[in-house]
Amino acid sequence: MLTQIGRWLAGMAWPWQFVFLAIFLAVVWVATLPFKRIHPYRGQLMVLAGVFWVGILFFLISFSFTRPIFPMGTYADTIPRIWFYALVPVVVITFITIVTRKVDDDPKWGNVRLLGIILGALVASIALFDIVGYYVSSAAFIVFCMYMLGSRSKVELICVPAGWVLFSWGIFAQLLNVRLPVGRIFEALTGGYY
Amino acid sequence: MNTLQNLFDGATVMMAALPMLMVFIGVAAGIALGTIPGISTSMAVALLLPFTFTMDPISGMALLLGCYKGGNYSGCIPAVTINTPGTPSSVPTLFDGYPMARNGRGGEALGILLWSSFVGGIFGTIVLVLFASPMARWALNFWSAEYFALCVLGLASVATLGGKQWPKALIAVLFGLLINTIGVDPMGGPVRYTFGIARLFDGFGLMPILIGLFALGEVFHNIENYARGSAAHEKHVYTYPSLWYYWKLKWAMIRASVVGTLVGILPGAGSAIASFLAYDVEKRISKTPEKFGTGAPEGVAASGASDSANTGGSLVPMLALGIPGGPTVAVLMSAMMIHGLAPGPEMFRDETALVYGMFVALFFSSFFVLLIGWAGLKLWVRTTNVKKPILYTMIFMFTVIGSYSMRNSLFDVGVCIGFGVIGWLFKRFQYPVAPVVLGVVLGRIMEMNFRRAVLRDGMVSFYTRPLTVIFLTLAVAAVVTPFIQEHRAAKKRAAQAALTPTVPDDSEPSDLSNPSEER
Repeated sequence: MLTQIGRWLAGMAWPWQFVFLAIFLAVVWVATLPFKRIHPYRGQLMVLAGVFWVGILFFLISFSFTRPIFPMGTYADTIPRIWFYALVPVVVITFITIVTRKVDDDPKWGNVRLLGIILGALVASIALFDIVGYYVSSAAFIVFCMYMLGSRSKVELICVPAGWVLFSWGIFAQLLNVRLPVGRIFEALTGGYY
Repeated sequence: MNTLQNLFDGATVMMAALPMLMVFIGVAAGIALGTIPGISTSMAVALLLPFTFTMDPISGMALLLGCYKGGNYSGCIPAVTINTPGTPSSVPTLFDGYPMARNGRGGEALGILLWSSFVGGIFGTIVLVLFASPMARWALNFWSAEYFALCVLGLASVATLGGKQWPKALIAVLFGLLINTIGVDPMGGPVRYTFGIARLFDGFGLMPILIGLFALGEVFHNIENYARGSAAHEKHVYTYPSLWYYWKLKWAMIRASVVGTLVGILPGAGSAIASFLAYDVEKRISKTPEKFGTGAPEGVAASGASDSANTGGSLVPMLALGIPGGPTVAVLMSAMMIHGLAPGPEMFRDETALVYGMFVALFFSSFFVLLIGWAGLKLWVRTTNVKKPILYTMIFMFTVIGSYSMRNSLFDVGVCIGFGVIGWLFKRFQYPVAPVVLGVVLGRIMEMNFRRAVLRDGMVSFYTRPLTVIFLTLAVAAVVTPFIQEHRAAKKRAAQAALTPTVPDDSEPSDLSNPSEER
């Protein structure tokens, strides 16, 4: 039974793992709804639940690992299971610590919108590396990020990205031979020279 | 007497104009490259390697050893200034270095780092000169069971890293250990937890995790609490303490140097274990352990000295046995082989002047680190006074290029951002991040050595080999002692509270808490 569950979980692609995690967290969230006294600690409980889910997932999948026909004493599943067995009592202790209110309240949310915008821009700029290239994409991100964080000086908004492009080209691309993505557009323009 | 004669011969070879110039250039290049997050010491040394092809072996090794020393020191600088560890071993530096920098004590923290690096470097070199051969033989007694037990001892430091939040610290360390099981089974078994991602066959890269958890996690946290205006651009006035202030930290530096050198001698143990152990030791013996993690000078001194002393120790197995103890030493070893030298026991006999010349180069490189580091101190400190919009943006850029440059992989950049979010959530909900790194750094070494030991001798090896038993006993004691101390302190407090109705105000400040008084 555990082997079948393990194989099924191991066969699911990584996006599904995030879906399972989200479902597990949603269940924990809903389960805490009737208990108002633990609402101030729900963030901490969610982090705990997230780590516990990783442990459960790894434990279940460990049953799907094939073992060699000759005895080795330990196998691929040994260590993940040891960590899971250690995790269970620690999760229980941490849970008790949280629900008995021996921890501080969760801090109030700050400027999450700004963080979300900058994080989104960062992810978008990385996604654009392959299309417009590292230099253009990172320079655009620098201007955007600095602007969002309140910089209005034109000198700064021009000099910082220009300086970064020169620095990253000189140190990383030329000196260290790091192959920074030049982007499909630039490749097409140069006829694949790069 | 023989050692002194050999040292004199080595000094004669090394103290010529060109080799000394090479040591200086190597140190300067190492410091310059090491301060850039994403450029490891091994990368910096490898970068200089081609320049040595046309040099004589003495000058070539002088350049590379200088770079090794310089890079080793400067890898800790971004840990203090922008909470970005340059190497896994510089992680403990940021526990106290970064809080010091945030509180306007960045000059002090960087000064401690510099002096501890100098003391550790000199200590490690002395040990290397005097005990290279016998200590290398001692290191050969370390088998898989001992390495496993040493890792368990390193892991025991989580008990002090977590403080009163120890259950959360344990959760964090187990999370680190769990994610370390991702990838191909190290003993040649099946592929674990890759979910169809071929990039995960080798597991997660260490540097993207480190940079993400600490640098990105911190920046995300700061942006969440970001306020435009004067508070966002506040400037610190830094103090630079007198030499007497650093002198007070001498025992912390020496203790950490001993730990760093001893662990460095063990091939494959890694400087990260040494740094964490040295930090742990210092916190345990401190009279004010509660100040660790909030800006304790002893914490910076311990990790800096240990990291630097480790360089001397890590050269012992290479020179005495021909075994590279880590990636940077492996680059150094390949440089020696390119120059037609064969590192190993015969080298002490056949190339005495060169070997002892290298020891002299290490001595001088420590002095040059002090010289160049002192000159650059105000420059490093200024990075923390850069306007926040520029500073945060630059940290983003360094994290992206730093995580990308390790394997030319955009996947690593994604991992870095993912762990940045995890680091932010952990910080936000008061889960310590450092134990995650401890688990990630030690996890694979632990698993490999545990399974090798069981495969070879079964479980017997964990309770029949004396060194293993000593390490495991120490680890258990290290975990249990804080709880016993806390229990006793609670009982004492309860007894005192019963006797006196009023509670005393604050604890006495440490004699190191205000460096400006020393001036």
